[in-house]
This record gives sequence, C-alpha cells and structure tokens, in this order.
Amino acid sequence: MTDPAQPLLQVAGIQCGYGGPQVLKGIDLSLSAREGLLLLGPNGAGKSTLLRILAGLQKPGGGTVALGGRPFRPEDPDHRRRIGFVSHESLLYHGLSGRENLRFTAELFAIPRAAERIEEVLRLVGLEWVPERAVRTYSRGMLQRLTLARALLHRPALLLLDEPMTGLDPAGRKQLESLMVELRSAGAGILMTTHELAYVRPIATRVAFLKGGKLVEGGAVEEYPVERLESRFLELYAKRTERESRA
Amino acid sequence: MNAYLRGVFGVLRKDLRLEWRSREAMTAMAFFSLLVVVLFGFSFQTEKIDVRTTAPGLLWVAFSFSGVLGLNRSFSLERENGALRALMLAPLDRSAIFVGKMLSNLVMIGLVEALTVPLFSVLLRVPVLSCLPQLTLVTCLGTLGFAAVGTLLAGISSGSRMREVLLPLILYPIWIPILVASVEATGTVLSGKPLSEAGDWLTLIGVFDLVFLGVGFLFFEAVLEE
Repeated sequence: MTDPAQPLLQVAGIQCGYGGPQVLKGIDLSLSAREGLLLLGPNGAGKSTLLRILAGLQKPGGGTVALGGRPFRPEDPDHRRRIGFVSHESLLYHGLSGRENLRFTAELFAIPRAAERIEEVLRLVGLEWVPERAVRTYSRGMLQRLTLARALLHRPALLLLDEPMTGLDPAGRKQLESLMVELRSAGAGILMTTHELAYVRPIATRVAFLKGGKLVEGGAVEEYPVERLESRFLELYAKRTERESRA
Repeated sequence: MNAYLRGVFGVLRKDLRLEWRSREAMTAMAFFSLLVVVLFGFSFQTEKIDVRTTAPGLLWVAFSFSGVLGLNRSFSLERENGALRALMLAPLDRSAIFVGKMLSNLVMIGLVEALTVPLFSVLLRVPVLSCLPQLTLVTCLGTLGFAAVGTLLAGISSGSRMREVLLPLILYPIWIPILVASVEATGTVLSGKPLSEAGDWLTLIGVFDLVFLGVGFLFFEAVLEE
C-alpha cells in the first residue's frame, strides 16, 4: 500500500541518455493528488523520455522515482495499476474495434463490471457513437480520444499525458480540458506535456520548464497567464530556436 | 479465473481475433507451406525414392518455413502503434503475455499443418490415415517446441529493422535438435512402426519443449524490457 500523506509522485535526480549526451541531467519534481503539472520544453528536450521513465517503460540512467512514498517498481502490478499513460503512439490494435480494444484492456487490468465502465469512458471521450468500428477507420482525433479512453479505463491515480491534445478538434480539446479538470478535482494527479498552452492551462496547477536536461523554472499556474507562458517559452528557448533555424 | 489465466486467454483471444479479421498470417503461412509441398511433390520422382525416409524431412521443412512467417507477423502486430507498450503497462505478469502469444502461434501453426498434411499425403503418396493419431502426437510435440522458442526469439528480433531475416537466422540453429527428433519420430510413425520405437526421440522433443517453455517463461520479461 502507498502512504496517502506522501506525494503521489516523487522524482529525484532522474538522468537518461541514449549513448550520447545526457537528455535528462537530474530531474527533481513532485506531484500530489489533485495537482496538474504542465511540463514545457521544445522538441527533443526529453519530455517524452521523462514520461516513459515515469510510466515504467524505460529505465533511467540514474535517479529514483517513488509512487505514494514507495520506490516505483515497474514490474509490480499494483504500481502499474496506478498509472495511466498517453503517448505519441496510440498503443491500440487498429484491426480491432474501439470497444474490443477497451474490452481487452479491461481484461488485462481485471476491471470489475467492465462493460459498464467501457460505456462510461466511451461517453466521457465522446466516442459512444462509433465503438464497433475498426480503429483503422478512425480519424486522428477519434484515435486520440480512444487512446485517452484506454488510459482512463482503470481509473489511474496518476495520469501521464504526452501531447494529449494532438489531433483533437476545438470541441474535443474543450471536452478533454473539462474531463481532466474533473479527474483532477476527483483526486487524480496529472503530469502532461503539450504545446497547446491555452487549452491545458485550466488543467494545470503548476508549470515547469525543461531546458538542457533540467527543470530550470517553474511555479504556480496563476503566475503564468497564457501570454507569459508563451513569452517565457520563447525567451528560454530562443537561442535553440535560432540555432535550429540556421541549421 | 485468476489474473494470470485471464491475461493468457486475453492475449490469445485478441491475437486470434485479429488474425480472423485480417487472415494475413494464416493465408501467407498456408500458401507457403502448400507451395513447398507442391514443389517437393513435382521435384522428386515419388515412385523411385522411399518417401517414408525422405518425406518426414520435407514435411518439417514446410512446417518450419511457414511457421516463421506466422511468428514474424505475431510480433509485428504488437510493434504497430506501440501496442506492445500497452501490454507492458498492464498489471500482468509478463510471462502471461509469452504464454498467450505462444498459444496463439501454436494454434495458427497447427491449423496450417492440418491443411498441409493432406496435400503432402496426396502429392508424395504417403498414406497418413492409418497413423494419424501418432502423427498428430509427434506434430503437436514438435510444434510446441517450435512455437515456444519461436515466440521468444520473435520477441527479441521484433525490435530489429532486419526482423524478417533475423528471426530465421537465430531460430533455425536453436530449433535443430527438435527438428531432427521430429523428423526421426515422424519417419518411424509413417513407416508403420509402433510409436514406442520413437520413444527416445519423443523424450528428446519433450525435454526440449520443457526447456524452451521454461526459458521463454523466465526471460520474456527481459526481452520486453529491451
């Protein structure tokens, strides 16, 4: 069991490299229940790598991760049950229908009253009208909605969302925003990366900027109105953007 | 049903459902296997050679070649869209994934074998009806080992860009002991001799089956981590 007095997620000194220079050079962060942390950084900053490490899909080069005060052990089914992960890839079988994908996930997670829960999440993500269609026929936005449904199905305490708004239309983004705010209020902790600053700001309670493999700045979301978020992003990563433009 | 078995049968059902929808692997495997038998049938002058000594080898070559196609397909499905990561995120003992995928490979390879044997019998003029139960037993044992080691190695090779080439390169050398034993046991059965005469070969297949199942069971988690 985890300790409810401890932060939901505690990360200390996480490092990671891919045989070359370190992508992550000692990340420290913590996330409590009912908190939403918006992790910002340019492409290639290591945001997705960090999320994969926290989901237990990649081993870090160093550092520690604790879930609810206990060391995170990806091989522990109880730990995996606490995490919902949305990545760049859909993690779905495109030859199956939306409902069949969710039924398979429900089976693996041993979700009680799975049929009811599947209908519930399909409604939550607005896919209740196409559950029988093969996923390969879904549009990019519908695919993203189903990806979210899969991640939410087992009611995880910690949501790791890598660019969750990708492919969603404005209505979908608004719907996702309301859903995430609702989940956070209900006790979930949310760690997400995105470049859709205006849409995710209501979900977040804190903001952190990743640069050079470290978290260099951050604070309460109230300190960062959308315009300031954008301007700080441009200031912090201006040199890199210039360098990329020249290249 | 406990969580482990639910995971095993969940993976098995999912794999078979996907295959039933697309029929991609089964079609390729069946055609390839039948093609091998047809080519052998026309290449050899069946009146002049004793097909009971040559035929078992031909049969197992057809099984081995077609089986690799299915094994490759089995993991390419998991790599598409990162579905394998979804399996890794599930609160499931990773060996349950191995067992589920091994069983689905076993079913598909077994079905292709069931299609191949009648054609083999007709083209190479080998009567199989009289020894069908014994032949089924030998084939099941040999295929179990092939599916066990093949599933593990398909998991390893699936991360490589050269997976279609890599899998047969690493699978066939390891599979040779079971192949030899299966060919010998099949030859004994097709010759109309009692199964007990193939007892040593069957024991050898059984031992290797257990070893390959044990290795897959123990090391599949490490394969997934990589």
